[in-house]
Amino acid sequence: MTNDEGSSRITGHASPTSDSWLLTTDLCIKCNICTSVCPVAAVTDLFPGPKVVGPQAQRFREPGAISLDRSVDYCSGCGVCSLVCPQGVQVAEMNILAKAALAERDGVSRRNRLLGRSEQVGRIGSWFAPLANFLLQNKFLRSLGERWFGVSREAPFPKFAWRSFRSRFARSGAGRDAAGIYKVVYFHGCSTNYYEPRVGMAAVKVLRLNGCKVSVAEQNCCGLPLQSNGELAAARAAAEANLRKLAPYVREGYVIVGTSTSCTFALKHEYRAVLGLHSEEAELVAGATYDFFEFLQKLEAEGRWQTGFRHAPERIVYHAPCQLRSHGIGRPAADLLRRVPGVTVLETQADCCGVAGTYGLKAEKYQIAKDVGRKAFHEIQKAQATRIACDSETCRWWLAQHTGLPAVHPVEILAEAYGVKRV
Amino acid sequence: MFAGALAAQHSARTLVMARGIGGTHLGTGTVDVWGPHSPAPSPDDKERRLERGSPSPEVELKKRRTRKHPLGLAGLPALRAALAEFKKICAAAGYPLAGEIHSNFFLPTALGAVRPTCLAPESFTAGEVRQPAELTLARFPGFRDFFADLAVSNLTAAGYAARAVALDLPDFPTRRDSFATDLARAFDEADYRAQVADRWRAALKGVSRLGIPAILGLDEPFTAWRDLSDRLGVEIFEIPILPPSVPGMRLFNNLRRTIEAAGGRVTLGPGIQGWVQADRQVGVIAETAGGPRKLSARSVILATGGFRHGGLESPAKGEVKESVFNLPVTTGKQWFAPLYWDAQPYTRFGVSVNAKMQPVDADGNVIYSNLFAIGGILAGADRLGEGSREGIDLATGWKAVEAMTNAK
Repeated sequence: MTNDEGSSRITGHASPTSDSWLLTTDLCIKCNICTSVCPVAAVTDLFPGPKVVGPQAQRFREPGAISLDRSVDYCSGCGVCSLVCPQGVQVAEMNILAKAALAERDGVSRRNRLLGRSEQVGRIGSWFAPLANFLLQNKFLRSLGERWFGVSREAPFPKFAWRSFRSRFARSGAGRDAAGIYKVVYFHGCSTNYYEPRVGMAAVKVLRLNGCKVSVAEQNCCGLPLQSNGELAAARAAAEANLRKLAPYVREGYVIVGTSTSCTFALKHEYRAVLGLHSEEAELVAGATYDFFEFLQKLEAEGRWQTGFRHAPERIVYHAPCQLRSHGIGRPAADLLRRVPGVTVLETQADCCGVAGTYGLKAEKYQIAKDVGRKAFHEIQKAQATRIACDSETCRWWLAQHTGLPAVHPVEILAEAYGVKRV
Repeated sequence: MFAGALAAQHSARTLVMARGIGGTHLGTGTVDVWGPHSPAPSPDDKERRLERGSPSPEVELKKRRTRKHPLGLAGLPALRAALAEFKKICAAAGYPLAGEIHSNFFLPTALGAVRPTCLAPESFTAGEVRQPAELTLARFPGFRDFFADLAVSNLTAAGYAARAVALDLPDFPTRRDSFATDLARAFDEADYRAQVADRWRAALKGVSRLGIPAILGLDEPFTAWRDLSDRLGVEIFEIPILPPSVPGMRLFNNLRRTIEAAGGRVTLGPGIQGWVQADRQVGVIAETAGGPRKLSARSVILATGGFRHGGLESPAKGEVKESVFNLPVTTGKQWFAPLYWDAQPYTRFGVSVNAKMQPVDADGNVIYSNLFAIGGILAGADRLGEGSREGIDLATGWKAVEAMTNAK
């Protein structure tokens, strides 16, 4: 699909670049298409909808001033509004920045500071993994946590892994290949490193089976949790650190491939569109970043995708996370899993499972997130599958909690089909 | 979307890509085939129409068969097949459409004008103004997107018997303005409909048909409409109102589900550029989050619409460009007519195609062998003035998919 012929040419023109998001306010014709698909506005009248808090309110925000209307805080950041807008208004981006402006004025709560720092929480938690896991399952402590911090006592928390992905990777020797058809930097993200190292190990094995040389270059949290919780300066620092660490690899011909679809979306889009980073490094990294199955689909198009699968009869229900939709690449994981002999893939149609990163973990939003997710939960239960496959970790934990089905990253299913033992 | 559904039903790998959702969410949710607009008819007009029956889109189109109009190019057989196929898709989704190509309905609009349309959801048809029974229109106090009294005064002025009645909604008003979609989601719930029926029953004594804004359910609208009508013992009809258009969303959802059930994909968001390959084949370049990605396909269908939809652009005064493949655009000397409500010449600007819906140059030569163009981007039609929008979309979409699958 991606072959480049010699004398081909490009016609038409690119859309306005993302740094002009503010100008897109005036493209809004108030048609309300965004409101009609907003999953939060559909379940609560606390949120007036993306058009009202986005382009409509933006007209009252002088440059530098902020809206007095706090209802934008109920935006979950799922991004569906930007995708459906026929005029190219960057509604979601506008709302993230409006939320951040409110946070700057009113200060960021202890709770949001905590939720924004998934990397630090992960690192400290995994030092004391057994104890931390025990404490997080304790109902009394969780209710104290709700009262003091505002983190819902019901919200799902993953278990800290005793040994991080990076240390497992180092010990496995998987990074010592001399060459490969592609040189890949695997961007694992905090969740793989501290909670689900098995996802990372599966990803590395699948990449190597497909002939790629894998590195786990120095990297840090993508910054998205900080951004969603209103800490733009801290998010920007995390982003710049990643760009400094990753850009040299891209210059050496590496591509960046990640299994957390929200992290890869941050590298591709949010650094530029929301955090306003327009350096050469930002462009370089964005252009070289692939979501995991998007990369496999690229290999497939080039005729280099390995399909030596064992027969693995299973009925899977796949949920495409809202963040994946924002990539604009379709649903490559569902498309490729269907190619595994014996695997049946059913797909949910729901636009969002509700949790939207850290949104559903917050006490005052937990019920809203659950109501948003009801459609997805229902579809999953109806599917009569054995497992849920989903490319985003917070969605997996949330869906598993509310449906009672185990949830895995699609790469884990693929790794099993290649005959790789579960790790 | 319709072409995408047909293509997906024919071949497994279909991708519909769109920068956002289009006209369905803004439109009426009906299928206009041919029914030129006229001002709200006076009582005399009404008499005449009642005697003559409705102008038939089929007869009108036979009279004005022209190779310059997209419907003329696609031909009546394609139009008939397309309407049948579209009805089939909607019926399979549990949302049957009424109507046939040989007649139009005349349905009241939200402003109280009367509008001809060829296919309409079953839940619209009791609004047919040529039926003698008085039209009773519902006023939902606190709902700002439909003014029954305005519609009634215009209908009455045009000679139709109409009145308004105030009907309360349970759990209403809410803490913010409610949109049609909010009400539609509430009406999807059987419990809510039961509460509504209990509240409305007394106020509806003696009412034979009741017009309400089109908010009767999103997921199971046919069930919602039947159920509420049965509970009240009144013929209910829906009137399309301001966007977001609930009846339009139903059509979009039906088409999307049809595409996906047949193994196709609908990807919303990325902007598109054209990619002209060496051998007169085209592909597209999708602006994904990470950057441009090239996609090639056996066939590409361009359905980007006219000026209002981004398919045509005017970069400078007097200039016209087709926005994706830079195709030649058939224009005219005049752009505008003196009066706003006149037929505007620019609406007829567009891409010229052959009978297979392949874009052609001024000499009639096919420009790219695997490219088809359909819908609002085509030259020769004043879709709004003719009331031909969906008829053109469906017929040309059907024709392109036929040509595409035959070429395989």
